[in-house]
Amino acid sequence: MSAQSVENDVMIQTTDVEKWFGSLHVLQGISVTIKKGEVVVIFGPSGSGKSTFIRTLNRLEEHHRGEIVVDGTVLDNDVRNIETIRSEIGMVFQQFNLFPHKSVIDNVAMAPRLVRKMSKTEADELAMSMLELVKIPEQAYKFPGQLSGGQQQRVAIARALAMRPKIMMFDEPTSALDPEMIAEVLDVMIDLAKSGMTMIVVTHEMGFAREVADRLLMFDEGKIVEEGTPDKMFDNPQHDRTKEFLSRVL
Amino acid sequence: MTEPTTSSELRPVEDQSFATWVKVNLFSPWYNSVLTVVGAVMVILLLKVAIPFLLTAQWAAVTTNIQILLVGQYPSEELWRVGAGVLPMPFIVGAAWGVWGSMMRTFSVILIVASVLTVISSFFGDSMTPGFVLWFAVSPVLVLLGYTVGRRSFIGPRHVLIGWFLFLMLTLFLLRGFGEDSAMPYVSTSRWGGLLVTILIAQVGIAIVLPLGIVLALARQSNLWFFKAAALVYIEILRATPLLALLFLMLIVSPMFLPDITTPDRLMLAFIAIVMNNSAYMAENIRGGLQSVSKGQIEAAEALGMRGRHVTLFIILPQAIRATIPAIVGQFIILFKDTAVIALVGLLDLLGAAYAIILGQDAWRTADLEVFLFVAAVYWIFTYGMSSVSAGVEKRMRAGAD
Repeated sequence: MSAQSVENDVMIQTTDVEKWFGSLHVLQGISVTIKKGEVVVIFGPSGSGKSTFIRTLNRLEEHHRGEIVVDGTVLDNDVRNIETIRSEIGMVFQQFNLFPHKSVIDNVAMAPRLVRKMSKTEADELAMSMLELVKIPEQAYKFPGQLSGGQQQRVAIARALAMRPKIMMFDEPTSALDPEMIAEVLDVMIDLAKSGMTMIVVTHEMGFAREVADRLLMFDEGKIVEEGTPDKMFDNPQHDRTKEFLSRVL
Repeated sequence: MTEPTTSSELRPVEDQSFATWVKVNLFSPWYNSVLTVVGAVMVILLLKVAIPFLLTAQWAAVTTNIQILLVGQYPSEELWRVGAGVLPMPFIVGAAWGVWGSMMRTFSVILIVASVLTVISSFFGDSMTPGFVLWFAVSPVLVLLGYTVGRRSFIGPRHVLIGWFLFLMLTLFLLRGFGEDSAMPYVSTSRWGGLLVTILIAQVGIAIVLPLGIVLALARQSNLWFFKAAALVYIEILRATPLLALLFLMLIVSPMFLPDITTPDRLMLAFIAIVMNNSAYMAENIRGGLQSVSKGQIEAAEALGMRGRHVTLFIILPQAIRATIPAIVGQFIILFKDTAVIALVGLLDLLGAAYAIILGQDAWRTADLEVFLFVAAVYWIFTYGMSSVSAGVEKRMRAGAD
């Protein structure tokens, strides 16, 4: 691979990203390069900074030092850059965060209409095709409150996908779900990963990681302690913290 | 989600006999028996006073002066303008019933019943003009007509609201009139009065107070210090000032500072005082709603690339208003009742008209109780209608939630 094509393949590059919450140093120099089509799973104990890290990538949290470049756009205080980056990164939250006052289809069609300036018919069509992708087109005219947790999370995925993002981020997408609903959400995510979407997933679903992840990052105390392929990480972890943590979640 | 089982076989059969009901609800345990007896004695004592009064009451004090109670000193020869101006109201109430369903039903039914009762009572006296009776005869028909229109699928809440705004504008124009020589000569607001003024202040007040409250609440949360400070000062000063004090300030003190050539419209000044006072409270109600919207909602919208004003307009505000509807309607009810305070600065609203009748005419000086009872009943009917709307909204929201 030539240097040029490697350059073009990079979707996200962070260099020495640091962040503090007051005096708490939550991110202590995170440098990561994520290539197009790569599926990266981030795991680690709670408070290790993994959620905070992915939230800095679309400016839900501001980083204090270091550089973040998303698809060639430098994330700084320029509102236009922030908007560009946000419209390229789809995000799925632990608590779904669907808009309760809007029907399912309106939840999905809203951002394409407001941000991409689509007409109502166009946006509704797009929304329906996204709902088909997550296998719940029949719920289109219900309200979020009438759906199960698993269905709500799939609507949230459809809502993010409707913006046609280049990258999808998942922040513990199955942690708030009842066990029997986790599979339906993971299935959608596996399909998405296999379709070639660039994905960053914070999760402790190690089965999912083993099946689709290209790379695993183990976070602890604001640092990446260890990274590698699923095989290497699961079968032959190097770092004591990784061994200890995996022995508890596997 | 699974439906809860509602099989009637599982439900225990209840003993519905009257004797059992009385025993369980009124006489057990022993202290309930005491309360029941005390309550019964009080009801009997009250009826002993109330029944003879109601039978011998001088209701003529109300029927003879019904014009003053309803429209104040509006010139008799121009009364058609009041009738025409207010005529769209039953239609709009009916349309709102058609669009929003059961939560507007109580209001519509009250309007129909009140109209029918008025028409019936017109047969027992000659104090009401034919035009007046005709208005109340037409109004139930208009309510039902409005309902039929409101039921149509292409008529939505937006149309009702626009219709209501247009109706208010039209009514104000009709009542005010134009030049001296025109077909509709100018009628000074000093001659407007009675229920007409009460209802107008309440409706125009509601139409202004809600948007103003929203703007103030948003300004108070703004990142721009000037808006934030201005809203804060406005809200804190007006919330800490009694409405009556503000009213005196507006009507008595403010003319001293205005140039002599302008004669301030006293009704307008009173209206402004009511709006200022209520908008400060409204802003605080809405601010509570704004704070109740979870951070996750804002993050989800931002993560989708939505801009700040879109997030406020389409995500935060709708949820904030939904969460505060009971408080908003409560504020509307307070505003409606607040209008009575303007009687204390000599304006002839419904309560002011009652004062004018009792104090102004020797014949009715002893009929004060009758007149005030009538006034209280009218206030009660409107506020009851409003709180039934509020209850309906809450019921509907519970059905939509979780």
